[in-house]
Parts: sequence; structure tokens; C-alpha cells
Amino acid sequence: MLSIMLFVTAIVFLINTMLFCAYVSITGALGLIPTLVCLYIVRRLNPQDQTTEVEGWEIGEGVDIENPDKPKKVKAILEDRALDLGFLGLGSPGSGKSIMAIGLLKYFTEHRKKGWVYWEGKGDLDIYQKTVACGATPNKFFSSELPSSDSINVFSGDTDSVVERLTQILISDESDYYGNAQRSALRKVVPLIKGLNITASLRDLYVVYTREDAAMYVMNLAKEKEVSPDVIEAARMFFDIDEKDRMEQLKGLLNKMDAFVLGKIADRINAYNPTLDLKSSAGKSDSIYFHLPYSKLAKDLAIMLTEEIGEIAKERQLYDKNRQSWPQVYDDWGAFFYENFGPISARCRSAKMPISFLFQSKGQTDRVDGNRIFTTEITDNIGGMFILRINGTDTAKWAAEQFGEYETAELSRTDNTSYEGNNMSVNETPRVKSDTLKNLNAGEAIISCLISGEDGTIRNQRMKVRFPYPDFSEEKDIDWPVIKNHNNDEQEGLHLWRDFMNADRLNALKQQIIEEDQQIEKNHQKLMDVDYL
Amino acid sequence: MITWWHYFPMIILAALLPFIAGALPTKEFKGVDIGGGPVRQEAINIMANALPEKVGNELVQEFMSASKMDEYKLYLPFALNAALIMAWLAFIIGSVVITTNNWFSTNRYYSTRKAAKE
Repeated sequence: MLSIMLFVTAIVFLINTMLFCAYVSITGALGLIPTLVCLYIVRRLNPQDQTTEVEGWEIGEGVDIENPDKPKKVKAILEDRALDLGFLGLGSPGSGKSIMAIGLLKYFTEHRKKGWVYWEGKGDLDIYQKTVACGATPNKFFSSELPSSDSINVFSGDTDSVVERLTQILISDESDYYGNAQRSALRKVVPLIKGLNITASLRDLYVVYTREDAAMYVMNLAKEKEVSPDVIEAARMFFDIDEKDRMEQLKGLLNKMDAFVLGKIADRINAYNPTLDLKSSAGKSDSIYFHLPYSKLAKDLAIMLTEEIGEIAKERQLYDKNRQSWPQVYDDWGAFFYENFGPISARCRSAKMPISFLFQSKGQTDRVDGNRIFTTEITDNIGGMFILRINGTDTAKWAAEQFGEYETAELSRTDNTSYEGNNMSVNETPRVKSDTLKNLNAGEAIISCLISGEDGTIRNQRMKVRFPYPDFSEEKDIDWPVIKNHNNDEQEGLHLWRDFMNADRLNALKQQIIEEDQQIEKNHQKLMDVDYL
Repeated sequence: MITWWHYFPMIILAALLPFIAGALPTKEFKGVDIGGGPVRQEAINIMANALPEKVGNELVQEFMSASKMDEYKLYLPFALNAALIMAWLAFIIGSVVITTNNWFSTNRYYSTRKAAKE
């Protein structure tokens, strides 16, 4: 109203100015000053541009449901600063989770020009096709099932991190006697192998545990390479245990290791010169596609790789001053959750490697520990929550609760012969009903995400949005990538598996050593036989 | 609660008052002229005093020889400024009334709501 009054005043001043100039004197033009002052104040009171400039993924029109009784149309933008905190996406099959994830990868690739890691737990070809077709082509591709994908070395990294990682995967029960013995075995032997400063693989560790002669060879090599005496002594203590007892202790560990050292995939995950090194990829901000269709082995591999991601995050946190955002998107990951995922997600977020996960049911996070701490931890460690269509009642109910409540007030008036008065009732009403989530279309979601306000403020906005459907028109022409790996036997490394697990080769090596030894003996004898006088 | 939607007709009425006052027919009542004529005359006198002497005299001369319609036309610039002043007065009074009234209403509402919640 003040603006209207000032505007009218400005018009009257202008008319006065014109009349004064026309009939009295040109000095009346000074009347333009109060006119302009009034118009300036009007402009300040009603700024035309009330938007805040933000960078983020523009997903189109949305509806602000802060107060569902008064929905407001808004331009939905998932800001970079919110995406860099990671998000949780929940939706039933066919609700559009993967399309949303691919759209996000497209945004990371085309707009942010930075790498990402896509952990794909479903394994369908069409997801890879769509990812590539929309422009989010990965630099690296690792599959737990496809033979022609990049190779990795699951034994890479520093000693402590390898021990930690292997403890997570290979030791199933940490509390019992065997669990402790196995952890001790890892702590005594892994430093010995790492101390050699020769590239090694999990297969080498397996051979050291299972072959007495290989263990002796490594001990001698360690002495030759001047590995720290305490490391050698600790290893000796382990190898001094009676072989029968030692093998009994290691039985469970070796059984678990079988999955990683035997079979077709073993060559690609025990590469001395891997084509995919997560640590260097993090530095270069590569785009990596992990194709891990669910199986027991895929889960173990996923845990091992996730632990490695956690270690990279730890290093970035401590030493990387110029860390670039390297988002991790875990799609269809419900079956892959494990206990340590929560702490890793917190660490990754602070190291600018935000973890976002998409899954189908709250039951999948509850299953991890049974007592729901994991679900709470996971939901507390993310910056946004995207709920797509949910079919299950329990999950829908839980998801709806995440959007909180809003206050409604009802005023009723009684006016009759015996009583006259007002009655007001205030209710807390759920902002989102579980039925609303069941009725969402594919790609539609109710989201809760941080947004920037005026003057640098940040708040949580609850919106109903529809994620964009990228252009996948060229997807049919795309096939799995074919990646040529190095021949492991020809690469530089410890090669215990090659040399000690092949009986013929081992015999040949032994024969060669004996011949060399005999030759030395002969030469020595010749020298002794020479009559120097 | 009173809002400007309730109050803005008062501002319009206040602003229209000078225009209406100058347009009223002139009648003689107990030997005294009342109505639009004296209002227009007084307005022209005020304007003539405010303007430079030469322009003031010209304005008075013009008014003396004008018809009723032309008198009103000469009166319009004065009416416009008077309307603006009236509108601002109404606005200030309205602001005070609305603010005071709404302060009471808001506090009553919060008190009632607090009581309902408890």
C-alpha cells in the first residue's frame, strides 16, 4: 500500500512539475527530484528480481509443499551444495530411480565437468546403454560378471588399509577365537608382504598362508630386502605355529579368500598392473561405472571397493587441500548395505565424495543391524531425501514421516440463544500422507532438499517434483565395453601364485636353483683345485 | 483482522473529497453562499498567493471571467494536490488503526492457540 501511495505521489509531483514549467518557470523542473525519489523508493520496496542465483541441477517445475494447504509453484533446482552432501533415494521397482540417477550423472558430466562413480547393483544392459546414450560415458568400467572389463588389485593400498579392508571382508565373526586368530594372521603377514616393496596381490597372500615353501621364500626375501626386524619376527611367530593348528585357525579365512583368488574374475581383481586404480582415479576425477549385479561375490567385492573408497576419503580428508567433488551414486543398493557403510558415508561426505544411495525398501537398511541404528545413521548423514513411488505400506508410512508435520488451526463459532463464543483447535497434520507416495507417477518424487535463500541463508525445502527424462534415443546401438587387460604373468610383481601354485613350474624352478647351486659348487671346486703355487 | 483491503475505500473517499467539494452547486443560505463556488474561489486565492505575482494575477483574471466549467478546470491542480494530502492523511490514520488492531488480534490469536495446544 505504501508503494501505491508513493507511486501516486510521484505522478502528482510530475503533473505539478509539468504545469509549473508550462505556465510559470522552467525552474519548476526541480520538481522532478521528489518524483524520482518517490519512484526510487517504490523500486526498492518492490525489487523486480527476487531470485537468488544458485548453481545446480535444474529439474523443472515443482510444487512447494511446506504448507500443503497452500501449495506454491516453484522452479525446482537441486543445488550443487545440496548434492555435495549426498542424498537418499527410495522407490519401488519402476518408480524411476535409475533414470533419476542417470540424469544426475548426465548433469555431473555435462554441467559440472567432473567425474563420478556409479555403483550399479541391478546389472541390466539397458542401464549402461542409457548412461552412455545420454552423454554420461564412463572413463572406466568394472564388472563382477563381464570378462572384458577393467582390472583392479584388491590388495593395493597401504598396509593398515589393506588389513582393515580384508578384516571387513574375510573375517565373518570378529568375536570368537578363530576371528581373533585370523585378524592376527592378517596383521602379521600382510606387513611382511607389503614391506617387500614389490607389487603383490591377494593371491600372493593366499599362497603364503597355504604353502610352507612360499612362506619360507617370502621370509628369506624379507631379510634380503631388509624389511623391519619386528615385522619379520612377528611373521616368524605366526609361521612357528604348528602347521596343523595354523591351518585350522586359517580355515575360515582361506574359505572366504577362495572367492577372490579362484575363478574367472580372480585374474581381474588381482592384477599387478591394474587398468583401474581407484586412488589415481580419484585424483584425476575419473567417471567410473561399477557393474555389480547382486551375488554373494558382487557384495563382497562391493564391500571391498567401498572400504577402499573410505580409505581414499580418509586420505583426502587429511592431506588433500584442493579436493574436487567426486560423487558416489549407489543405485539399487539395498542388498549391498553393510555395517560400516554409515561411517564411510560420513567420511566421504566431508572429503567431498558425497554418497548418494537409491534403494527400494526401508527393510533393506533395517536388515543390516536389525535394531534400526543403521537406518537412522544413514538418513542423518545425507543432505536430501528423494522419495519416489512406494508400494509397500510400511516403507511408505516411514517415508511420509520423514517430511514432518505442519500446523493447521480451525476456528468454529457458536452463536445461539444459550451460548455465544469461538472455539479454536490446533492440529499437527502430516505434511505427506503415505497414500500420496503410493500414487506417484514414474519419475515423480516428493523431495526434501537444502536450498539457498536470500542473504546466504539455507533452509530445507519440501517439494513435489518430476525428474527430467534424458534423451536416450541412441541407446540401442550401444553394447558393453570391451577392455583389454594386461597379461598378469608378464607384469612385475611377487608372482607367488604363478610360481608356487603350478607344480611343474615349481619343480622347474627348484631344478633351476639346484643346477645353479651345483654350478656354483663346481666353480668353487675348480678354484680349490688350482695350484696357485 | 483489518487489512488494507478493508481500508482502501476510505483512502479513495478522502482523495475524492476535494474534487467533490469543488463540484458542488453553489446555494445561498441565510445570505451566505455555500457549495462549490466559495471552495473554488478560496482555492484560487491560495494558489494566486503561492504563485509569483504576475502569474497569480493572470490566474485571478482568468477565474473572474470563466464559466463554471472553466472555473473547475482552473481548480483541478489545487484539487489534485489537496487530494494527495488527504490520501496521505487517510493512509497514516489507516496505518495506525490497522497496526494497533492487528497487534491485539495477533496476540489474542496466539494466546488462544497456545491455550488450545496446552
